[in-house]
Amino acid sequence: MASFEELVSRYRDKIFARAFSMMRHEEEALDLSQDAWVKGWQRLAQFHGESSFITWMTRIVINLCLDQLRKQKRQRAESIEAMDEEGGGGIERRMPVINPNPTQGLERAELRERIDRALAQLSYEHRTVLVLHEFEELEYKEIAKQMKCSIGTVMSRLFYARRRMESLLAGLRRRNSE
Amino acid sequence: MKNDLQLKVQAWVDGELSDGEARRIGEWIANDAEASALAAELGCLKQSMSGNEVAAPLSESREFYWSKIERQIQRESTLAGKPSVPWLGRWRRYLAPAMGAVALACLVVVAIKQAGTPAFDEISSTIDGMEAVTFHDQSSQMTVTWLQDNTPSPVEEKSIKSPVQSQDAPESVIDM
Repeated sequence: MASFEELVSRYRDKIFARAFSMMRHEEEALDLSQDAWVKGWQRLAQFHGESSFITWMTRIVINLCLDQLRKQKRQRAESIEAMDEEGGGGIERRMPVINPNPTQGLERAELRERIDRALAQLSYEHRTVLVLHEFEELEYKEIAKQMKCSIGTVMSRLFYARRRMESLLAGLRRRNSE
Repeated sequence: MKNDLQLKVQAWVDGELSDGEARRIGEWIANDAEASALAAELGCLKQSMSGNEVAAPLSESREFYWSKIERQIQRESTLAGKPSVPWLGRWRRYLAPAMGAVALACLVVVAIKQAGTPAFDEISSTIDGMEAVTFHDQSSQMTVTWLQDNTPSPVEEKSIKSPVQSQDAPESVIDM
């Protein structure tokens, strides 16, 4: 148990950060990150070192967050399949290409903060697909497996999420320059 | 630009296409201004986001954070080690013969009751001049009900009354 406590101590920030980036709610992220460690302990025998320990633990916390988000989605009685970007495209799909780069010339800390604010405004499906692709660097097929949807849906959601992010970042840049 | 082409551009930016398709789409992007601008936009965003995740600080101390995990692990280990109903296992060997004896006693009582029951039942009831007699034959599972009207007819009623009364009273009163 002492060695497991050491692992928790070493990686707790990363696990909490991943939970927070998906849930956008501190208490929920805290509970889910701790639940992930409990699950990790219970499944320790299943860890055979195919990936690093932190990658394995990150998958556990991502799965718990996705389960929780699906539960919340069901409670709101919204259908994932009825998302607007899958029904022919929202305005983001048709909007013109944004030029210049809305993040150009920003300091790293400011850029991070803007990305974080923009991510917070996305729906959980779009935020999750971006987090898994850009931060976890998962391939389309891995994201599809995690999110229990088709690769086509992943591509569609990712495209919509990116266009929306562009739009939000451009909006933040305009507001700051005014 | 069509949606499937937009997604192809995105897949090209993400390196998700096969070598042959990547070459083909790459050539098309190089010769199409719109596709080229979209690829540049998606690439810029990808580059901007890469490695720029905000590090959400964990406000709880190491000890406090660990204590909840430790408690949960211990609680679940205890639950996993216990039988689902601990007292039931201990008492099962005593309860099983006793329950068998009770079931046997119930069967005997029912059998005795069945044997003591007469082959038929007869119930009689009289309500406001109507008599109902019900007969049930258990051996042939048959029920017969007689209904008998015991209400005196007007003629009989007239004869019951005294001759003086019947002579003085009008007929309409007698009929009532």
